[in-house]
Amino acid sequence: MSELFREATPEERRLYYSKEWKPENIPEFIVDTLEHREFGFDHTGEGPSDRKNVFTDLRDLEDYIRATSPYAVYSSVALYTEPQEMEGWFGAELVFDIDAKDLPLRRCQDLHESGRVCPICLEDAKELALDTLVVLREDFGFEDIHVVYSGRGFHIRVLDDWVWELESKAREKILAYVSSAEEITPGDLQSNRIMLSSGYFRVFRLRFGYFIRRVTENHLKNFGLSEKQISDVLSSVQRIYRDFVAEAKSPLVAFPSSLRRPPSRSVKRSGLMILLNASTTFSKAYFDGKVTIDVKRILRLPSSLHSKAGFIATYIGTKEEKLRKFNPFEDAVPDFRREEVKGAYEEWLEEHGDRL
Amino acid sequence: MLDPFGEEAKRIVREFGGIEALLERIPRYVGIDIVLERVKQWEGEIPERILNMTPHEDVMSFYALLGALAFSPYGAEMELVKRTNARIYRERIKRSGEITGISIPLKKIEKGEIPDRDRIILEKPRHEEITEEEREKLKLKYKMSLPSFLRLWEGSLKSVYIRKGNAYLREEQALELWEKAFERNLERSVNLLYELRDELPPYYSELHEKLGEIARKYFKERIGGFSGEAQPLRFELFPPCIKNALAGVPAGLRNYAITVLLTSFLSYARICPNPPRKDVRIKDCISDLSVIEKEILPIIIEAGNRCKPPLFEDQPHEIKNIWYHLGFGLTDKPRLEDSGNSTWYFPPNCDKIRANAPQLCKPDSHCRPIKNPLTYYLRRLYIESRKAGGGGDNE
Repeated sequence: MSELFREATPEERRLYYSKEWKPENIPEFIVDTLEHREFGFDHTGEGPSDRKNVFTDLRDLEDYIRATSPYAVYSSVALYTEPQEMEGWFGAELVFDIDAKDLPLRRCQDLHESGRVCPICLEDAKELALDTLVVLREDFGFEDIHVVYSGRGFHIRVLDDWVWELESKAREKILAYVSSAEEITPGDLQSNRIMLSSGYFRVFRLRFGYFIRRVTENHLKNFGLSEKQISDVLSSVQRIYRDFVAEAKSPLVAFPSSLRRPPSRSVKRSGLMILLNASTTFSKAYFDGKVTIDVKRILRLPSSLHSKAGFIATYIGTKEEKLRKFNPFEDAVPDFRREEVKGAYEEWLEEHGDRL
Repeated sequence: MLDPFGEEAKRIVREFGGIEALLERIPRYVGIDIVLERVKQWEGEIPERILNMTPHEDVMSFYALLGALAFSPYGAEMELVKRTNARIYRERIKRSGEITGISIPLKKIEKGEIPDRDRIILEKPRHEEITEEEREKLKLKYKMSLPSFLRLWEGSLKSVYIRKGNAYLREEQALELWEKAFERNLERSVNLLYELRDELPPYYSELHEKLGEIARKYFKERIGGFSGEAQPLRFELFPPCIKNALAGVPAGLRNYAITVLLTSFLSYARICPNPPRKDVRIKDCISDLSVIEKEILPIIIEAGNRCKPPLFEDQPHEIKNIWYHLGFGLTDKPRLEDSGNSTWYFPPNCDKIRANAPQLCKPDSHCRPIKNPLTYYLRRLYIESRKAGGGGDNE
């Protein structure tokens, strides 16, 4: 049986970099700042140990990649005056990394263990990325956003002028906002702030929307909800999504009334507060926070081969529509795996396609 | 005037020909007692006379304080000036009814900018139980673009209404931001003036002395605070250039890094972090040489030994040079009374370090407002003492 994801052999890497890879596929925003970025290479599959490389000319980068056919190629999100020393930092992109293999809440939990990837969790990662784009554009007013398929997830790279100089602390705040990492309080419900059409509470509802459509009976049991509350929630998922997430109605209307009480006498918090904050527990982990906060990070180079997954890190573009239409099993497959992935994907669709 | 760093103040400073010219002329126009009134009002009502100063009087008396602070940046004096003057301007801003012409880019909110439903939730106009005064406090009156906002806001983004690239603010939130900007502007100005302190008229050192008396009295009675006085060295708060020099440097850089930079930095940081004047001598600050011999010299020698090749192995006479830079003349057997035989070298400014030893200068985020490694250290001590709840004279 052919596999959807598998490690590329050294021979396949050579084939890819000699016949298929073109430097023209590296996005312009990287080429334009080439001489200010640090490049890292992983030649063995054990991590990018070949660091602090600089290329002032794209042809030099091309030569180096073709000559070494590396396992992975990375470039810094930061720009430096002396990238070979990682000194003279003068700014970094603002990056959000959604890795499908690490998603804490997936619809495919019965299909494979955590740490692996399938079309369903990639679709889930895409949904998170799309919600993130909405927040970045509408709340923060960002206009220069680029989306990249990383090989097993998505990188969202913001390049607007004012992000470059942001310090780690400010990036941390933006991440907490975008991932709705802060808990909701009873005061947020009583004051109706939870129903605001913009700001943190709108982001919270978006993330809650993702959560409520994936949460299982087991999760709800673990949160400590009562039997009655669990069955009420599971039978009202569509209504909760429509009323609370999409229409921002009051939780008193949108949620089953059984949630207004604590699940048992020994618990103080209402079922509703437990449910809302369970979403936050998960949403904090949708992003790899280190990537956002670390202003000297290196990130997989778009156009390079993700040798572990056997896919191409592919530049998708700046528009939501492009991301929506993007299908990694068609748009990020190296030629040497084209037939193999096609067969494996068809097989997978036949078996699980209805769950996509 | 609502902000000594706002547009109107800037215009007045320009009228005088810039900040240096202004500081030259202030002693002729404003008496020290009038300036000191600004820092004596830390409790109770602020006298109307201070609140109603003319813009020129206001600028001159405030900038006089900045000139005095140049003699002890990040000391208790700065804390005193910050707190009392922020209170004065805050009160003026409140009285003026709207915030305009200040140093932060606040804009008034246009009608219809916030959806009605959101406004009703945030401002609670239908809650009859809320008093008019409370309702006024809930009103979103200003907005600030997120790039500017994020530079100043220290809280979480959950507590602010964010929409289309702007943070929408209540008056109290706007004032909080203004105060943060005021503190930063004050620090920045004092750092600039630090370089000029030796050229300032004696008026400012006299004012600084009196400020120190008030600050000591105030902070003794209150919560403590960083005194800016001599205390054991805290290596973790040293600037990157000093840490790099301590780690040892290669040939070609050793004399500058060890003899010039480390010697001056460590001695001033340990013995006299806030020198009252340029020609200060070590014997003015300590009564015997033990602090130099037991604390400072061993650090310098160890750093010299970490150099490649070790500095004092192939240049043993360099020890004499260290004493020379400490102000004892060229000797290896100094006595306290020799202090003053040569100049006690002050740590070079950042631009000098960058020019002479660019390898040492690897700025971190604390370097941003800083122009001299010693003020970096003083600033970090000051921040640490604030973190420790405002208490913490570490001596």
